[in-house]
Amino acid sequence: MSDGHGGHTVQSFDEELKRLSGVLLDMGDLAIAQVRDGTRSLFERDDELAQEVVAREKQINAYDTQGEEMAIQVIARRQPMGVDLRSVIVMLKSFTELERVGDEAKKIAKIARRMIVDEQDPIDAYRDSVKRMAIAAEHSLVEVLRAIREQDENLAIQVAERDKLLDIEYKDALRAIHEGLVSTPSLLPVAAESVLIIKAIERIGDHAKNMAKLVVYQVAGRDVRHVKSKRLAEALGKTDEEDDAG
Amino acid sequence: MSAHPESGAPAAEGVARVRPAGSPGHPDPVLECQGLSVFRGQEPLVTGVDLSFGRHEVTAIVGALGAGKTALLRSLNRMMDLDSIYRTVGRVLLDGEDLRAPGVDVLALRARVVLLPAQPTAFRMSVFDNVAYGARIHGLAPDRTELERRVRDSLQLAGLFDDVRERLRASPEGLRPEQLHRLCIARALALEPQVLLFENPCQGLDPTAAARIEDLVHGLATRCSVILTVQSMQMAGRVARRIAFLHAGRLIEVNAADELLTTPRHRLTEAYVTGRVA
Repeated sequence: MSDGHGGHTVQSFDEELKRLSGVLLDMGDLAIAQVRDGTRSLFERDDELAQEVVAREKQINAYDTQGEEMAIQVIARRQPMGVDLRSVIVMLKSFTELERVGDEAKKIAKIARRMIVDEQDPIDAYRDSVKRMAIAAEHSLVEVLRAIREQDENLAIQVAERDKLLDIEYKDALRAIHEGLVSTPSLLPVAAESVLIIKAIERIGDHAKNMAKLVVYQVAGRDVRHVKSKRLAEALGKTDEEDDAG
Repeated sequence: MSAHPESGAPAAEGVARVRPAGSPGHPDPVLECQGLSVFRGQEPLVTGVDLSFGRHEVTAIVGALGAGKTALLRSLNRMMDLDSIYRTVGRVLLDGEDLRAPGVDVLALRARVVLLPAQPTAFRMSVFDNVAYGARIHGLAPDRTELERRVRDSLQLAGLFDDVRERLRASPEGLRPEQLHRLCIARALALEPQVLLFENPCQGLDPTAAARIEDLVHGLATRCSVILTVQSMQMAGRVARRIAFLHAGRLIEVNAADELLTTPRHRLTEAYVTGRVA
């Protein structure tokens, strides 16, 4: 992606990077829709919508294949370096992250279908907690795609840092499920599905966080994949004022 | 004249010094430039370069046409002295010895620091004599046996021995471009040099031949220190451990190749490696 870095002497290279970025952003929008519809099918017990999510997963995989092929072509033909190399690698890895987001959304939709068929209503006990998690995960995806589009390192750091809130929600929801089981062991089948659902949402948050760290690598050239999210700003030497400004 | 803050060398008169990104100093230098400037008449080609080159290491000097790569490279064994239009200021040290000090034997120096021009040229003599030429004129082989050893070893090192073993006494006419490159490399290696300077070593070769020559150049670091000029960052990345980037005669950045290619520190290096308008 060349935004913010000036144009290449070779314009067709810029266009290739833009096309690649376009495929990634389109795939990102579809992944967000999958997460949104997958959780909606769960809350609204909408079997038709859940079926749509399962079927649309093929499109996510197609984007992944197309994006990866395009990225490999760019590397082979252009042998990019510096920020261009980082951009292509980041996009390549982001395709994989989004493909996994698609897998998790499909997983949620399939659980929703099972529950509808089995006439289970697991969500009531934990509905609010799961809903909060789903909204937070979707928000992280929206924001990380904006960070990619705008090459906004500060926004990416915020997304990565916010993942800890999702982790807290996940632990709270897990505890609530366990507590519910103690008082009502007959809820075990429902609880098992519920654990799978919150785990899937938590993983979606992780994929958004991974992509956010990739954006930091792309923009700042620093590999922060293994830096704890809460230490990101510190590791990048960003002051509170800069963070606020960003 | 003011002293250079890092090297302690006198700064070139009228030359603004810049501090390059990365570390121009090397922990184990074989060659060092201190405040090196080269002028063609009044026109500066290289300006105030402080840079050292590691022992048994391949260093690539990279930059666009007219960046001053060749002038810098040719200053390292005083080839620039051959034309009076060029004027050099500053110091070049070989193992700490100032190459521009009075009394330095320039011809002996050029046998220790050998330059291979971009265009390989075979002399009108046999393959054997081509390789033996430098060793002969510098008196490096006291007898025939030693000369033959040098020629054979050099041809083997250059990866040409098997191709020419049956025609050592024949003319090099008819050698393929890649073989011609190898012949000239063998001629340089017969001097058992301390430093090899390559000007665009793969110029005019097809990709396969160029890849093989790159491989050879890379491997030569076990025998000597190698410094080469290239325009292609990709080639610099494949061949060199360290890259120095020049722009308009100034050293902009020097760093380990893997760092400079992926995370350049200076915006001009970034612009060059990514092919953006600087």
